[in-house]
Amino acid sequence: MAIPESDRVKTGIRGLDAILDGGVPRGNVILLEGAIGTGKTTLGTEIVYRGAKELGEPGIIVLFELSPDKLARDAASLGWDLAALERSQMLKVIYTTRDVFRQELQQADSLLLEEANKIGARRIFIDGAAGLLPIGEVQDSRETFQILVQGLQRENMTAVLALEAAAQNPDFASLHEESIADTVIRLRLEDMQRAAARSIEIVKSRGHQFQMGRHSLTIVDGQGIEVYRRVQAPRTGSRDRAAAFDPRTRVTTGIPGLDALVNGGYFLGSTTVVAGMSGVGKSVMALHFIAEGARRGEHSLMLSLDEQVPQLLRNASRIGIELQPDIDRGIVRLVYDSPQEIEIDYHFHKIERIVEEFKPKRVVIDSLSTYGFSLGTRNRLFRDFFHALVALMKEHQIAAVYNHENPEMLGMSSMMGEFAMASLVDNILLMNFIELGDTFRLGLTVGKMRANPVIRTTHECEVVEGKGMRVLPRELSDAKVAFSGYRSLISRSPERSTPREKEE
Amino acid sequence: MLDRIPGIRNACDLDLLLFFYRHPSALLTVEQLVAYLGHERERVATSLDGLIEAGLLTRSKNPSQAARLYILELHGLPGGQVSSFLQIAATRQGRIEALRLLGAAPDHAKIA
Repeated sequence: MAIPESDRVKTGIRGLDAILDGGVPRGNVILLEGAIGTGKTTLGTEIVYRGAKELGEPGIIVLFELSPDKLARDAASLGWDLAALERSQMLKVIYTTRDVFRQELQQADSLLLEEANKIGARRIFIDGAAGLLPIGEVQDSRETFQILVQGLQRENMTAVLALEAAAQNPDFASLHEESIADTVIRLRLEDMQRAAARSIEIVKSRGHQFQMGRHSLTIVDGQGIEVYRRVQAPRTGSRDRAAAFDPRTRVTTGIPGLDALVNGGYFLGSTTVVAGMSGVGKSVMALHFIAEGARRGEHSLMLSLDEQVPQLLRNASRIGIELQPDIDRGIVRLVYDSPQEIEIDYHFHKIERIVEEFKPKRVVIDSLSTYGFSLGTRNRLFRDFFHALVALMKEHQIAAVYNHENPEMLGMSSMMGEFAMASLVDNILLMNFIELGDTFRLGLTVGKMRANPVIRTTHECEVVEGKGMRVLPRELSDAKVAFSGYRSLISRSPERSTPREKEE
Repeated sequence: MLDRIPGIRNACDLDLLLFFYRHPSALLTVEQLVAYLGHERERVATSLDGLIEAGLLTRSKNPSQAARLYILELHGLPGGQVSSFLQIAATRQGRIEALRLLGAAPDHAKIA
C-alpha cells in the first residue's frame, strides 16, 4: 500500500523524488555513501536547502571539517543563498567536532537540538558522519551508530548522514551502518573510457517502493543536482496503453512518389528505420519529412548527432527546403547533440523533455548508427536506449523516423546489420546504391511495413538540386532503362530482365 | 575602521572573530578553540568574554556542558562596519595589516 503524501519527505532534488516514488517516508534515517568527489555534501546540503526554501521545512546542517563559509561559497555557485535562509530562521549551519556532537546527541538538554527546536527543524544533514563511529570492534561501531540514530529520531527529524567510503572499497559491503539506516543512497564516480560520470543508487529504503539501479547524477552550475532515471528502466504501464495505434491517420513523407509505396504514409506512433549507406539520401529524406510536417502545420523535430543545425539548414536549402522560417514560427525544431562522451540517461531525459514540451507529431533521429558507435552495440545499453526511445515516441503517438547507416555500399545482406533491432521496428525502408553501367543509381525498397500490405519492389529515386528527392515512375521516358527492366537489383549483381520476365 | 569596532584589542580577539566569521554558529569547547587558534587558554577565554560584551558574539547559557554554542552577531551592530572589516581581515594581507594597527602582532602572526 502506498504511503500518504503527507508522510513522505520530498528531497526537492530534480529527478530524485521520482526515483524515490515521491519521497522518503518521514522519519527515515538516510545514509549517503560515497568516496570523495561523488557529491555527498552537495546532495545532503540540497536536501536541507530545498526543504527550507521550497517545502517549508527548516533544517540544520552540521559540519565537522568543512567550514561553513566554504559551504556557503560552494552553495552560492549552485545558486543557493544559505545566508538568506539563516537570516529568515529556516536554516542553521553549525560547526562542531565529532566528540561534541556524539555527546550532544546523548544529552537530554542538547544545545544542538535546542537550536533545532528554536527554528522548528524538520531535516538535519550531518556531513562527515563516518568519523563519528569508533574504529575497532564492529559491535562498538554498530552501537554508536544506533545511539546516533536514536538521538536524531527522538527529535522526529529526517536525518541525512554522509558517510565517506574508502576508494578501495567501492562496493561498500562491510558498512554495517547500512543495516541500521532506513534508506541507503550510494553515490559513485563511474569510469567511462577515460571520462568520469556520477551515479546514484538507492540500495535500500524502508517503507516504500523505489527504482533500483544506478541512475545518472549531475551537478549543474547555478542550479544544483539533477538526477536522470536510468534509461534501461522499463516504461510505466500508461505508456504501454498509449502505444495503441490509430488505424486511420497517415503521416505523409513529403517525397513525391514515396507515399504511394508506404500506403499513404506512416502510422502515428510508428517506428520507421531508413537504412542505407552514407550519402544515399537518408538525411535528405528526413529533411523532406520535417518540411512536410511544417507545411501541414505539424510540430516537427529533428534530433541530429551527425550534423550541426547550421549544416542541416544549409543542406536543406540546397534541395529547396527553407526551414528557418518554420523554426522562427515555432513549428520546426532542429536539435544537435554531440555524440562524444554521450551521457545516455541525461541525453534521453533531454529528448523526453523536448518531446513533452514541444509535442511534435513527427520526429527524425539522425542517426541510430551514431548512437550505436557511441554506446556500443554489443551490450544492452544501446538496445535499452532504443527501446526507451520507441516507447517514448509511441506514448506521444509520434511518427518517428530513425536513420541508420548500413555499411554495405552495394546491395544489402541484412536490414539493420549488427543492430539486430528489426523486430522492434514497424517500417523499414532500404536505400541502396545500384551500379548500372558506369553509374551508381539510387534504389529504394520498402522492406517491412507492419500492419500494412507491402510490395517489395525496388524503385529508383533521384535527388535534384533545388528540388530535392523524388521516387521515379516505374517506366521512364528518357533513354535510361528503368529499374523495372532489371532483376536482382539489391543483390549486388543486377541484370537486365528478359522481356518475358519484365511482363511477369 | 578598527578603532570604531568594540571588542577588538589584540591578536587573539581578531583571530577569534575571524574564526567565528568563518564558522558563524560553532558548538565547541574552549579547549577546541585554543587548539584551533594557537593562543593561550586564558587569553582565549578573556577574548571570548570581550567579544560577548561587545555584542559581537553570543554564547549559550549552559555552563553544565563543556561545549558551548557560539553565534556571531554582526547584524546587531550599525553600519555594516564589522562585516566590511572582516571581509578585509579574512585575507592574509588584511589580517597582517589589522595586526599591525593593533600593534600586537604575535610571532606566529608575523609569519602567517
